[in-house]
Amino acid sequence: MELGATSRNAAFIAGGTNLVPQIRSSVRSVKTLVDLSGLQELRYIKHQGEQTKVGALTTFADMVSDRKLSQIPAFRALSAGYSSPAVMNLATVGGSIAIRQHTEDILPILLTLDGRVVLERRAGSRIATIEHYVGANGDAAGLVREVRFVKPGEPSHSYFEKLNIGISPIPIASVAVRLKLEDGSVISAVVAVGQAAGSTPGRVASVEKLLRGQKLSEAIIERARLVLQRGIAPLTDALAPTWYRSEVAGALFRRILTKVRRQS
Amino acid sequence: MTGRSAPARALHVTLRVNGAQHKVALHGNERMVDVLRDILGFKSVKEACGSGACGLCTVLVDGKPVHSCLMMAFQGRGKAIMTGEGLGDERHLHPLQQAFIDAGAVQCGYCIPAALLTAKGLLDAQPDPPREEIRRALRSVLCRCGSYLRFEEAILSVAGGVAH
Repeated sequence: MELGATSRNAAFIAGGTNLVPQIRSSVRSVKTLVDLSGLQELRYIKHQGEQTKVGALTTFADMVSDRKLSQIPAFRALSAGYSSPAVMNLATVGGSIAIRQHTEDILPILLTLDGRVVLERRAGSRIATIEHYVGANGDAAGLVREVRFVKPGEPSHSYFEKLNIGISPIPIASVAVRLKLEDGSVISAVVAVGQAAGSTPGRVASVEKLLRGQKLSEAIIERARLVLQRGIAPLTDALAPTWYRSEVAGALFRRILTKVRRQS
Repeated sequence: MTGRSAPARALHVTLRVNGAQHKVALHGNERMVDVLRDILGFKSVKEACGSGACGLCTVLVDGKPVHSCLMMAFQGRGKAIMTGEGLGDERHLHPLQQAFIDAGAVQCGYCIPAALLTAKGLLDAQPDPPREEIRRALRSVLCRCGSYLRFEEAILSVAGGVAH
């Protein structure tokens, strides 16, 4: 851990799906690789009461095939939108979290599920919220050991939508939502956008506040869409400009709320 | 491999490919695709995108399809690796190979080893998969000839049949 943390030319490798192409294309120069992939003790999914704990080396294939997690719509959508099943056989949950970027679909989902990450450092372990960990001012030091999150409850109003172009798995926009409803009214709403601030995933407090206590009428959904779009500032890059990503995020959000409205 | 220099500080690894042990001296940063194709000569393993998008370098690792361009070669220690050469040969075709021929699923042929191994990985895990599972599995392989419906037909003809 000391080597991986202190040497600029050293890197940890587990699934390798992010790092290996970077080394191949010389985006990243690495002289020392610290291979974590054999640490089977970091490959587990534990359901404990209202909480789920996932070891960092759990693959996405393991995760989406877990009986309980596969019942949650957000995880089903994650599986359906993932680049390919073969990549899921290698890519690890911990590696994805450690990337801390909008490219990782798991991050907005975890933001809505009160996700926390257990980090190992030489000084010991610590727990950080996903929000703090991925945030621009967050302290990301340490090796991801485990991620914890709450179950979304029954019925599982926990959703994820994304739009990507062609075979590129990188989303133009991605949106995750967790709602608690009672008699058709929103008791609580947690909303996260993969591109909330540039390339950083984050929650959108303004729209969470707006939805609280509301019935999901068409008018409210439209208002919420506009508030969401005003509450985010996605990146501009070669794939899409900020305004387009904002429009897409709004459309995905409206799609989720409309689906919930029809179901409830 | 053309232009490959002998590793100054070699990593000596034994890889089990298609049931046979292969001792190789590796550069630490050599990928599985490079070692399988260029050092060990398994030409069914092809590289196109090099970033895990096309899946043409698919091999089975412990029975699961993975893109060998995303994996370092040393990570194959202790694992069972299968390439297209391990499926069957001209005299003893694998049922999937025969089914691909019967269905006329082979056009340019470039992605066929990857498609066959993807199908084998699926059928070994799920011997009689529904059509949507076959389609989901085939998302891992980019066929530019667009032969997916023929692949699907071939896989369905083998599904639920004899051991794969």
